[in-house]
Amino acid sequence: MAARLAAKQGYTNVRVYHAGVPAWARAGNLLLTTDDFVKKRMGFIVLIDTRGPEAAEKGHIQGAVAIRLKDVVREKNQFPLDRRAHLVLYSEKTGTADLASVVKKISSWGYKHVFVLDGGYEGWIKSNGGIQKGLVRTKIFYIPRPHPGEIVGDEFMNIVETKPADVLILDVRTPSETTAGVIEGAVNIPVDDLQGRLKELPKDKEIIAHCRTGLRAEMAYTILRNAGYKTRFLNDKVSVINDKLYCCFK
Amino acid sequence: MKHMKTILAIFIGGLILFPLLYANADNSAKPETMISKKCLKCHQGFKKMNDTLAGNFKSSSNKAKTIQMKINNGMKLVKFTKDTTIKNVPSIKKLKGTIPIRVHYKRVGEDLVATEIVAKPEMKVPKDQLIGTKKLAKLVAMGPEKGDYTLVDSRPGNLYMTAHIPTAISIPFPKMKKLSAKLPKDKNQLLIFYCEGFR
Repeated sequence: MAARLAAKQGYTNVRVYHAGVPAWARAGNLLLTTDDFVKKRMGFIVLIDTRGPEAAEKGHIQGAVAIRLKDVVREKNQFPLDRRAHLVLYSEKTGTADLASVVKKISSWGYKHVFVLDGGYEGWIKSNGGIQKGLVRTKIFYIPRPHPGEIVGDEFMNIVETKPADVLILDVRTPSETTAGVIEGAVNIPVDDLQGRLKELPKDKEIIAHCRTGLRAEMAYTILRNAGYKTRFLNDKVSVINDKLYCCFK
Repeated sequence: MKHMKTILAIFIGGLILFPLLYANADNSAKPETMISKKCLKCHQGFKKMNDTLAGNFKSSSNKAKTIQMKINNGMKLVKFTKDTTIKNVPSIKKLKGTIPIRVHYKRVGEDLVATEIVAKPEMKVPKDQLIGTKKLAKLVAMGPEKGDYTLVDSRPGNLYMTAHIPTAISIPFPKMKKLSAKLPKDKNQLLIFYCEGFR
């Protein structure tokens, strides 16, 4: 569409890279991210200062972990389990050439969002980004960004154990999944039937939906929210085996 | 005189009541169509379709036989059955990411059940206008000056902000006309556009 418009405006040598960004990344090519993205996602990305701990102690982007570029690949088992995690690498300047091979390697482990910070540390300072000096973390630490309406596993487990009177756990799994039991005190309505059985749920309690993976729990959350309920959902894996709860894996 | 008043009262009452009754009757049978603002930018005609939802795909569950879609800032759930037809992708499972979809549905009890799901079709580009990943990578490695090109990211600004191909400039497609000053002055220079890609 844009190409057609450009041709209309008189451009004679127009091309379209039809495969687009996903194909570019899949081929192991580098993508650049911006200071604005890092600021927006601060706390929910893995930010790697590839200049290493010594340089980073003199000043690094807030929340960064310092790992020398040549050591990054060796630290594979430190990387988050969640392959959808956003990983951002930076060096002093843009320095795409030296980071490219490392990014390619990390992408080959299955990470879908591996970026290099455009402008590097210098650019970050120019854009008035927050920095820290002194001690720097050297171990990767990752917290996924919660979806709207998501409850964290620890809080969910706390509710399961303490059973507060103003909270109701809603199990939206199908009958074939609940033969081994449901969480004590939970109400089971398969998400399929939920819209038609809303009347069974109290409006004066917060309703926490869970399923086996989190996907259907989110759907239940949508139904309940649209119907005016106070609700959240658990976006983690849950299984109940012999009435024992195994919970909250990503 | 009294007679007249009664007639007038009935007449006025009728005037008020009739549209109310009519509107009520109309409402219960009224087809519900929700089209996201984004879709409406190019597809005004969607508004005239009955019982249609259009927005972005969010997720699907085969166990619950339900898809979840995003329309503006809200979420809508639509069930599907083996009779639901799907266009432009081989199956519901192949719906990925946040691809724009249009759903025609019927109401069954409290549920919306999709009769047809139409994924946004792939743009057709003449073959001689296409550029491949390898060729683009070569150009990008040279840089815009040496490679003598301008690379334009046509996606929304927030996607450019998240990640973009090195050396690209951001001109979201709806802003093409306004921002065309960003395009090269030399109309014969190689001008490359990209977006989120076809499936």
